[in-house]
Amino acid sequence: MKLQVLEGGNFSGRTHRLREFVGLPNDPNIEPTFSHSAYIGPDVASSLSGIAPTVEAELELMAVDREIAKKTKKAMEDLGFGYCLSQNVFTLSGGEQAVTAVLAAMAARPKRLAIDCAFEQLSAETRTNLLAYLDGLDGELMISDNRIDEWYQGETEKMQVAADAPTVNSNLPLKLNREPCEIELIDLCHSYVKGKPVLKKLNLRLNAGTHYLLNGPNGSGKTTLSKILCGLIKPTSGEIKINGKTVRPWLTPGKFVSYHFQNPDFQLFASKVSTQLAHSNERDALANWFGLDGHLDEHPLDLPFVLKKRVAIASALGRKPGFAVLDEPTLGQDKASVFNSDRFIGSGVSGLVISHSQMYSNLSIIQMADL
Amino acid sequence: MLRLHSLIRLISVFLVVTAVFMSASITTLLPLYAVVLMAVLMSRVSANHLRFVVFITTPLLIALLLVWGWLIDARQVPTSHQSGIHYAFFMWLRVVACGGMLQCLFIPLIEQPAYLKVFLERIGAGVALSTLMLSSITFLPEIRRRVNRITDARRAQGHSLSGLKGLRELPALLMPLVSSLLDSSVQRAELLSHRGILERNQSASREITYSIPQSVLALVVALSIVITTSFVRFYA
Repeated sequence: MKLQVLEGGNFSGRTHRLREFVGLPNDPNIEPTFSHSAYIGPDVASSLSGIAPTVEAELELMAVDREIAKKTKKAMEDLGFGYCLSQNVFTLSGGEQAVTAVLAAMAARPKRLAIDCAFEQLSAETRTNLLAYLDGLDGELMISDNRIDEWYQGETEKMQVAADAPTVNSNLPLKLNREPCEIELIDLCHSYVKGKPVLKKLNLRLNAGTHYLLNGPNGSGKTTLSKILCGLIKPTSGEIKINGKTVRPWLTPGKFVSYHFQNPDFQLFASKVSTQLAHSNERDALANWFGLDGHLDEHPLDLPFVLKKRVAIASALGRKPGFAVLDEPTLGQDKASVFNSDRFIGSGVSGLVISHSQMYSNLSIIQMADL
Repeated sequence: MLRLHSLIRLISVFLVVTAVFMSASITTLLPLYAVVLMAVLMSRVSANHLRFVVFITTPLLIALLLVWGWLIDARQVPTSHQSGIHYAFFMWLRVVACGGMLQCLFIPLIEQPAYLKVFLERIGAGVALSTLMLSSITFLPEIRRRVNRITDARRAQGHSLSGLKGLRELPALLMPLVSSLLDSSVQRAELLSHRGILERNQSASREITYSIPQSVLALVVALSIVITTSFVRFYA
């Protein structure tokens, strides 16, 4: 595929440009200018049909013919995601969904494909392999990616950020006052299906005031571990200690550890941004820091993806727990506004980040494979 | 059971239901139960589905026993039955036979929407209509998944969702659910039409070969049940 790369920050009109490229109008009342093309947005789950029960069925549904369906399944296996074929699309991790979305789109053999920030959820290796696969196909490909400098050195189309774009005021001090929180996991085991453990005798100490990057291949148990920490899942066995005391977080989820989910749409419950952040004494500081001052009276779900993500991160940080788990906090955020490692360390909240971005490589790295 | 042609499924269920309502006593219902049992063994009905049948039919049995065994005067019980309790059991067995057959024959089909899609395309419904049918079947699991994610996120914010507290949280939970469902419906409609999927004459869904012997066998068994039941009912 002939590759075109867009470069520019949030509110530079990249999404508009990408949709225009594939013939999709930004006004839903206007008919698309041409069909047989595909657009994949930052919320990759919405780029899947939603009616196929498995990845395999999704690829078959999208494929032009059986031959292409077979080839696409083979590509899925070659990329190392063959194990996903029999799984439900919506139980996959963000990275797995992104690969499925791209391959499903390609199975329809579009003349043009636009990928809007979806590559940010992929590991460097998967991204390279996927690009190599796309390179061998016909058509045109346009990509917008906030981490483009991490993997692309060629020519780009520069986009200008709008003058009134809500930018993060990261030069302001954001020192949230939190109790230090030390977490210790002792012989932690968890399995969803009997005999197939996801976590096996895991021993881990998360020191107070330290910031971690949780690394590991897809399906290694990163999300399971994070959900156990937050109390959303009760581990099969093992002990959890917080500040030396044995606790049972599953009885009071969110009490010891707050959680920022990858998809902001599912975690915004208030009718105004100000109400969403109201639980925090530092609401104004958070709103100011995340560039949300001008949106406090708006409905969080009416905001563009990039701002919804900021509201969701601010909401998770503003909660009482001194430890936060942030799942892909960089998604859709440009360099100027992203909640990077320096900002995380400076925030006063210790915690753990799940991300494929290299910008967190200076944090203490936990490799799931080593646990 | 998955390889049974859908038309055969429909005819078999119709015949079995006819036989169920023709049978006048528990004794004549017994051969029917042998068939339902065979269908259960042949089909891929899981223990969960069977549990679901028990969950639905047990309160029904209790209600029938209460009504026919206690509330209604014994003189109103049809003369072919010894007592109200006997009649309640008979009615219950009828419902379970019909429900069981329907469950065995159609749940595996609904659980494998790809098969239903192929079937619809084969009878000339076209890709657009079969995709629409598929959407209506997969709609509920989709809502369930979203509800799980939303409740997880709410619980992660320290809100309890059990008991009365959960009821109070309902409006807050509904907002992201409705909003995300509407958004995703628009996006998916855009996706399906924009990629040209609905314009196709045939999809790339896998080929299913129906087993003719299995289909003929199912039909013969269903027919023989009706014949046996009629014989017992009218001549025995």
